[in-house]
Amino acid sequence: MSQESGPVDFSFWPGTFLWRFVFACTGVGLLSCSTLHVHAQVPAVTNFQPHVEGLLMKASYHKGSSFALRKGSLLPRNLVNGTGSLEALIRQKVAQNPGAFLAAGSPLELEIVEFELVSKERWLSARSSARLRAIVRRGTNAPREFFFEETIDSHVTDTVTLLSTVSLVGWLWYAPYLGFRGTIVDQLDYLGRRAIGALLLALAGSQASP
Amino acid sequence: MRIVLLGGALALASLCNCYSTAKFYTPGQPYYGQNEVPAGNFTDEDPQFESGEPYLLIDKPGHYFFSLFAKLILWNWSVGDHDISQETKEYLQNYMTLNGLTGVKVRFNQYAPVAEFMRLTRNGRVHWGLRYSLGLLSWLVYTIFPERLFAGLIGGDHYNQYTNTINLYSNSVPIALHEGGHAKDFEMRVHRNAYALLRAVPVAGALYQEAVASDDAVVYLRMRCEKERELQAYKELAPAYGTYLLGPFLAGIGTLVAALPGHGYGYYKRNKEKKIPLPGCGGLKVP
Repeated sequence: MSQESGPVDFSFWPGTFLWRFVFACTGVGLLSCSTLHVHAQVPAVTNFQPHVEGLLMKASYHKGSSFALRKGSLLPRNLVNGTGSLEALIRQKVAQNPGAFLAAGSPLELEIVEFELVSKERWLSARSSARLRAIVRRGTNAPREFFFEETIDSHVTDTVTLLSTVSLVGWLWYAPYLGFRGTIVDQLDYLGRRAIGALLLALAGSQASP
Repeated sequence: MRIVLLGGALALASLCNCYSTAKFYTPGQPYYGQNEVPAGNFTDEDPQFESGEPYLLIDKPGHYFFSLFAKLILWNWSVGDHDISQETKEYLQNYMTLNGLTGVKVRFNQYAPVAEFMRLTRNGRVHWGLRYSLGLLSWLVYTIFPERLFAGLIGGDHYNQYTNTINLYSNSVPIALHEGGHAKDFEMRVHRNAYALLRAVPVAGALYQEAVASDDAVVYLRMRCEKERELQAYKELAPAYGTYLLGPFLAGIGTLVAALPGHGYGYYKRNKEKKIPLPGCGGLKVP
């Protein structure tokens, strides 16, 4: 899984330049085209993967080239995460406070079975969703399955952006809507943080009651 | 007049169901690049939270004269009252602690042009080109027209992204959290320079950022299960949002009209939410 800090990959779409120009003219492209920032609160090092004694991590899900995928109504986009892969984020968070997640003499084995952060758009509606499935093994205890799923339905789409731009006055409705509902990047950020946060809560809970 | 009516209609349409309180609250996680310092290096001489000394000769004219128009527009006596309670301060402090805003300075009713200039020069999280153009301009306005006196007439409660400082002059919890929401929003952005520039895009830029900040304040209060405060937030933040929506099209006294859709929405939302019990209180608490 290649996780690098950098701009969103537009390379596979023929109308990319025109679309970016339209976005740039509206200024709101700055929101739509930004890198994801789903991350633990550890600064400075991109994809920093600290070694944590007593934590074994495996990832058996299919890793694409991106952290999240936006299947736009006009163009699809792969979104990278500015601070690293899912595994890196979990390692960072556990390393910050190992006492909350790890118990002495009882290694924690975490297998990420499924992780999907995706937004699918139709012309005027979109659904952003996060799915995270993991198996938690702690020492000799029986493995436990963790599953998280959440969705956000909205009208935040490329088409609505385009219509707002063409009509101009449409931004009077769309800009507040974007602010309160969040751009697709905001939504994916939120869902990513929710998924990771829920997993960490479950890990902390399993530490408290093995 | 047609433009005003059209704007009003759109304003009402956009305000429908605007606060996304179905969301869980997620604590902020400020983004720091490779060479950026996470903390603000605050000291005893330069603490993160500072309050200005009370001066009746400045604060009272500010409260009873210069902020009257803003009070009228927002129909809120606490706007620009220059008397911030310990409770309001603690709300903002708790909010900032939860969201990891360790580098953000807060000035409660304080005028500090020299210190703000120093923060402007030292804020490596925004490109120098922006700091010494737009940032310097905002500092000049702050220096020449002290909000300590003029808040509500010229300037007022705000977050300055170029100095990374929250300036508060109103004793209002929702307004304090709203400004904290701006800081959180900005601190979490990867492309902060672009995001700062977005603010300069007429109408749309402000509408987006103001919505994010207000939404965060409301969802935060909901997470804390504080119904009364949440209702207060609708009352105080919705009219302010209305001024961003229609204000640019209406000058002077017209700003009063601009706030009306927001007042209407705030009233509607308060009455609606008042009757609904809070569903499963509590947000995400990451250990």
